[in-house]
Amino acid sequence: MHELLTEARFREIFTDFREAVHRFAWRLTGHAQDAEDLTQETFVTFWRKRDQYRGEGSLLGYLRRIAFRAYLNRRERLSAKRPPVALDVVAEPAAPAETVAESRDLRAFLRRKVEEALRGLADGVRETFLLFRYEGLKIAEVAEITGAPVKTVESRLKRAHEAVAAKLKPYRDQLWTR
Amino acid sequence: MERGSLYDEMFALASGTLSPEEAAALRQRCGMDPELRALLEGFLEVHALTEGGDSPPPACRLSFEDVMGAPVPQRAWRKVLRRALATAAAVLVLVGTGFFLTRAIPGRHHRPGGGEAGRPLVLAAIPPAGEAAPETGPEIPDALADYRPVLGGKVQWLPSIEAASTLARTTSRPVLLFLYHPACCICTDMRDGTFADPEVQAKLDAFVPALVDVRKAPRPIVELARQGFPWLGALDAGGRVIISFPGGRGAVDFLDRLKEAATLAGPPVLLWEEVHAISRRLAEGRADLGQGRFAAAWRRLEPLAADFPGSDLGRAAARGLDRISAAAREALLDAAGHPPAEALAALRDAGEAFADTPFAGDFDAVRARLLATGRFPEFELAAPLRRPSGPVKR
Repeated sequence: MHELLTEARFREIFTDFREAVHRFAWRLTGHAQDAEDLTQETFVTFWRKRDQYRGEGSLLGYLRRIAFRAYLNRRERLSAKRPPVALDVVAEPAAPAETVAESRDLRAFLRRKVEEALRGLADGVRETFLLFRYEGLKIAEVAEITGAPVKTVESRLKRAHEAVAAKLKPYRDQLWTR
Repeated sequence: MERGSLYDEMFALASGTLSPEEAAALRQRCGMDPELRALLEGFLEVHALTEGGDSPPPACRLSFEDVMGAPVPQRAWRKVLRRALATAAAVLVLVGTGFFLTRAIPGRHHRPGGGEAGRPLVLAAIPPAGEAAPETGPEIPDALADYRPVLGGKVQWLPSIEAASTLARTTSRPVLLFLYHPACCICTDMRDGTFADPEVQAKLDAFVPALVDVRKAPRPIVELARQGFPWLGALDAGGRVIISFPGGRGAVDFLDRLKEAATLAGPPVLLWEEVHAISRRLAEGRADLGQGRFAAAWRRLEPLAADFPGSDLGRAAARGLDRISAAAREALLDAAGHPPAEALAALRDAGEAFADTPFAGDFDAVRARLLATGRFPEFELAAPLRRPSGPVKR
């Protein structure tokens, strides 16, 4: 592959996959600057190690794996930016301080509540949910990118669902009546 | 549709990408099993609730030129090497400058008397006063030398989350917390039944088990019990829940949960046999140190500090080494305060006491200069010993 990967070809790859890799990085970091930095690091690493790419499997999958490894390397620093994680991630939540009715923008309200729920998840669980639910990856793809067994991915997903359901439970009825 | 994980199929159903026949088949399959039905219902509900919960990514402003112009990321070890080289260069410059100044401005740097041809003796290992690390850091529990989670077919429960966390941090294992209430019959059944199972007991090797009465637990732990008794889960040494599995369970079911918790927590860095050997060696080294057997203490502690720099055990050994270097300094300064004949005897004794340590050569050098000149030489104390730092290695 590296014999064929000229700078011109790399430019084409960058053009074709920039948005996809950036979206992937955005899902993981949730921060514009971090996502951009991660995207840059992904392509820089790909170019620097271009001789290691054998052309097997999808190129986007390969880029995602690079991006995820880069993300893991900086996850601690990124976690420090996020508010602290609650100890009881699946505990019964307190009564909602804000109701759907009080919120003018349903999408913004939901987004906030989902983000709150995801923030409370353990590392690994959170990423699994994001990649599966919003990046639309299949279980096997999530397993390949994160380097975890399929069963572990399913287990993490189950935990994420339980935590999100518990967190959003107080708002569920209000949401259905909208 | 390509058959993959059940989750993939449920996602396709929720997203409306399944054909009516496939959707009906999936619903029928899940409908026959209460667990699957509950899973599907929960999945669809969360899918619906999180619809629109995703923020669209902002526009990516990154250009191809940004990528090609980015500095090549360095490997961590290269960064460390570069930093070490820079530090070494800075130290060399400082030492060189100091040496030049001490040579150029006589009489302002040495103690206690003049040296051979005015040249101070540069000691290699003994650190200057006040440079030794303070005696701080987590205490290593004495019980660690022979602790096992299961002994003679009985689980060795730790009675508090604090004790368990200390042990968990030291042995790089998660705490297996069993939160119970004395009036809870299921708790008792589980403690005496499930935890008596040999397979469960074997799996406990990867944990530090703690049996905590909810009435005596600290507040954040009590909160966990809101889900009911018994509450079981794996916590990291910082008290953060890795996974929880509340409720009474039989051995087979519980074993699966334990395996899952062990997978999520990762394998322990040290086997219990290694933990025991290290802690015994540490205790012996400390005993030697307490009785002034510095050479023996150094032989025991130095390999521990070098091999386990990132662990509490390695740090405790390193603190012992700091105490030995402080003792060497005291011995040298004490000898310097005596007349030559007494100083010679004190230096010989110190040389023997610190044999096989890096300080022995310093005592020999001072003694040789004293013998040659008849005066206690001027000397300069070295920088503190550098110890390696980094992750714990097997």
